[in-house]
Amino acid sequence: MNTNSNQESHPINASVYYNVFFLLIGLTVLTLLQPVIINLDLGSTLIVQLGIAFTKAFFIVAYYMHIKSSSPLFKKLIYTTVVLWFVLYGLMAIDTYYRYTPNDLFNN
Amino acid sequence: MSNASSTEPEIVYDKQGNPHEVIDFNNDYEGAKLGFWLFIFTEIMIFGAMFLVFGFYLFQFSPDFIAASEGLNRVLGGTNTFILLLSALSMGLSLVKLRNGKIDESKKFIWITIILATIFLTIKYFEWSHEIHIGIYPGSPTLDALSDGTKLFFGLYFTMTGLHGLHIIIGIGVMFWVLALINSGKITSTNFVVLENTALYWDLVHLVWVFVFPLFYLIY
Amino acid sequence: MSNVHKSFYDETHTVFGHHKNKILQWIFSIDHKRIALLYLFVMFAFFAVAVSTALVMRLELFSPGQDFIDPDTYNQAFTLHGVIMIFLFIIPGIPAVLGNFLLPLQLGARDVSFPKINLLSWWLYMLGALLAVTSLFIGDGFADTGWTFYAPYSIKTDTNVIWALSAAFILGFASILTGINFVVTIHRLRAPGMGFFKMPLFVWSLYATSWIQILATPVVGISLIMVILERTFGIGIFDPTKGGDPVLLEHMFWIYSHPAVYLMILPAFGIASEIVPTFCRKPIFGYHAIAISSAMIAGVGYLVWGHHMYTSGESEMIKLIFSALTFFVAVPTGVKFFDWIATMYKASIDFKTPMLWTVGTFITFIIGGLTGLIVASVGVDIYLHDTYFVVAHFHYAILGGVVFLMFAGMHYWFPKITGKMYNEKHAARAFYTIFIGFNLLWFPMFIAGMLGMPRRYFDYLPEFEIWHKLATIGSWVFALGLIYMFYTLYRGWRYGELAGPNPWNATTLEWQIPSPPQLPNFGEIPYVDYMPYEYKNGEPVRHLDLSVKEDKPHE
Repeated sequence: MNTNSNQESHPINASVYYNVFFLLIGLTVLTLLQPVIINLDLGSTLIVQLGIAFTKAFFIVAYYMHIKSSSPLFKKLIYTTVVLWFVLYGLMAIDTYYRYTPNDLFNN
Repeated sequence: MSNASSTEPEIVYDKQGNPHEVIDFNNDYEGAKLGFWLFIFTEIMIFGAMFLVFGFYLFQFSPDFIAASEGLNRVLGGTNTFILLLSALSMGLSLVKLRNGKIDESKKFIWITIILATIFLTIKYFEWSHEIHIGIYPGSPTLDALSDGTKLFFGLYFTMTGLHGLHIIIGIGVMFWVLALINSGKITSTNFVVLENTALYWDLVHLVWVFVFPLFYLIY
Repeated sequence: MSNVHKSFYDETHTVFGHHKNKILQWIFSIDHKRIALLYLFVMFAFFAVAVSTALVMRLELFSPGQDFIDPDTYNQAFTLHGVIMIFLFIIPGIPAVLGNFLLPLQLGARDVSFPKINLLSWWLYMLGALLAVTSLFIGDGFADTGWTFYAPYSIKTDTNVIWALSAAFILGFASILTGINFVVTIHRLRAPGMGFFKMPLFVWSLYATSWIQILATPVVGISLIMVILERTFGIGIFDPTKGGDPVLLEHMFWIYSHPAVYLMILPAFGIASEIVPTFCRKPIFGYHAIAISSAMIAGVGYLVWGHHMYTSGESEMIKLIFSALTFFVAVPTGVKFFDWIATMYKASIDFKTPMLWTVGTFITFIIGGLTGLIVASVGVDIYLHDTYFVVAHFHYAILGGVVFLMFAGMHYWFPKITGKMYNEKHAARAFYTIFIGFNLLWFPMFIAGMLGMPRRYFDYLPEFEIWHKLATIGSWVFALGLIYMFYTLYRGWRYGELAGPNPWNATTLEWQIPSPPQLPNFGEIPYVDYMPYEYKNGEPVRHLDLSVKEDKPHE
């Protein structure tokens, strides 16, 4: 059963914060250096930049926001939201992609 | 507040006589955290919708967006990224210190976070005033003379960074409130959920910037 | 035995401590039962305003040509009707009134998780309402864009669109807070032993509803904000002259507003799931199926918004996808209907007023729902889009579904809320009056729509006259029925007989405590290790007395 106490403290200590911090610093430097190191077209730039951003987001959510040590309920809720956004973006992307193709479905 | 007379938890027994605790809604740590996470989801939906708009126009006006992105000041933007990173760290550390009972150090870290947030806003102010100075702001004659994609890029730029800045301002306000609560003894090393939720909020603000920064400043 | 302790009408908790003043005791109360009643009265005040606006519009349409209001006023009238009905009445409707009142009672909790935030959302609701009302009287009057606020008209018109938008934004915020409150309450405050699949079905439907409130409302919130920014600063996002795309606003608007209709109907379905087993004296058929179908409707309903935009210029591909998804929503809805009908099968049904309303709703909602499938198919909808057919479909589904079930719920829980009983005979007659008036009002609109009568038009061609006349006459019958019903309820509240804790022999927890409930809801919280609707030989399996006893003062 659920317990109702404020003391149920999963062990967190400062070292986790520092480690994640340095990791994030590293990723940020990578983000800034990407244009300097390699010059990519828009699509690849987006993939690289968003890939780094999602990695950072993962670490922030998992460690800074303590999801790693939270109950499964929180994890499920976060998966749900992320999946929901991917579906929404997907539907919108389908519309955007086909909108500017005349007679998109029935062209002949 | 109310129902305070019953300090010990209410116990219910099932048929086998096993005790079960009735959760007191006035003092429910998990509930408070869950509630705040749900609020964070609404924030994610808000910013997610803005990114949706951004993506929608990025694909229609890619060359304009790339050109406009080049005009933004990456040094200031990058500095701000590091400042937010630092502030997220200090916010997290203040929570760690509080839970370890080091109230003064915890307060010190909150002050550091407030100062970093203020620096972020100041830099943002200089960025914006530079752009406004050269005549780029929504509805300005200079901007209206430019291409559609550029107009949309700056429209979105001001809306999204403005919304993010608003969240930072609110965050600063909340931190002062938290400091007051710590001083009056309402937040302690065992009753820390308000500070924890504030830290979650601050991480959210950071999280949004993690996406805003590359999408606006680094797509060229 | 009961009523030793005072009811929640006599004592309360307020947010600022004690008040001598009765009104302050109400408007600052953090007791979920009082907040529910606060919502109830404000909501029905606005309902009356919106019904009056609708009556004025119908009266104007009684005969062709301009009769007594001018076209601009007509535009503002239908916007006002839509904004009030949608944002101030239907969306908060069942969750904020019956949900607030019943959720903790059905879960065996003493209050919702965040009572103060509950009060805050009522205050935000009032603020939003105030903004909407104020904009009626200043400048060029109320927005004339329709409740959908489509660009580019909404960024061009001179009326007070910003006020209406801010009102809608604030009301959305209130709705989000209620949703957060309910989800946390359901997750945290269930009585010990009550797993998710032992909750009453009304709670299940509120759970699904609350998720829609949390995840969909912010999207419309930010798009309304962007329209405001568009009007004040000209950021250009939805302005075609600056490269913006108005269809994008429609997308974002419907990403919320389509789930919003499920947000309206789901708690109504929950009410039906409570009433049907009670008056059939049988355990409900397919408990799990109904519970899961609520979640499914919420989930799939999130992904069908594009069917509002078949004629707005979205791509052919996405039209087909949205059409298919829309048809799919009918599946979980059908599951619910078959379950209710299976529950009623071979039961000796007790046709008390709540059951009458529910069965009446089955008829009207099936018409509303099945015509929904007609307009969900792309080809047919191109023809029917923006005609009276859609208007009739919407009102059959929302008025004939949500509002009818809300009335069913109000009759069902009336004895619990007031402690008194209304006059059964008059209540039943009021139902028949409303039911006849309703069908006379809306059914002709299906026909007019198929013949090509466009919606939101101030005037019409002579061949549509007969349908408009019928509808207007129906609107009078409908309005009379409403007055009759509210008067019956009022008389019941003032002069009715005492109802006792459990007048319907129902099984859920709220019937095991006195009517009206006492301030702490329960004397002792039960251990719930049984299903919510357990009947044997037409009688509830359990009779509990959970009232607060004198010797156990809870504060």
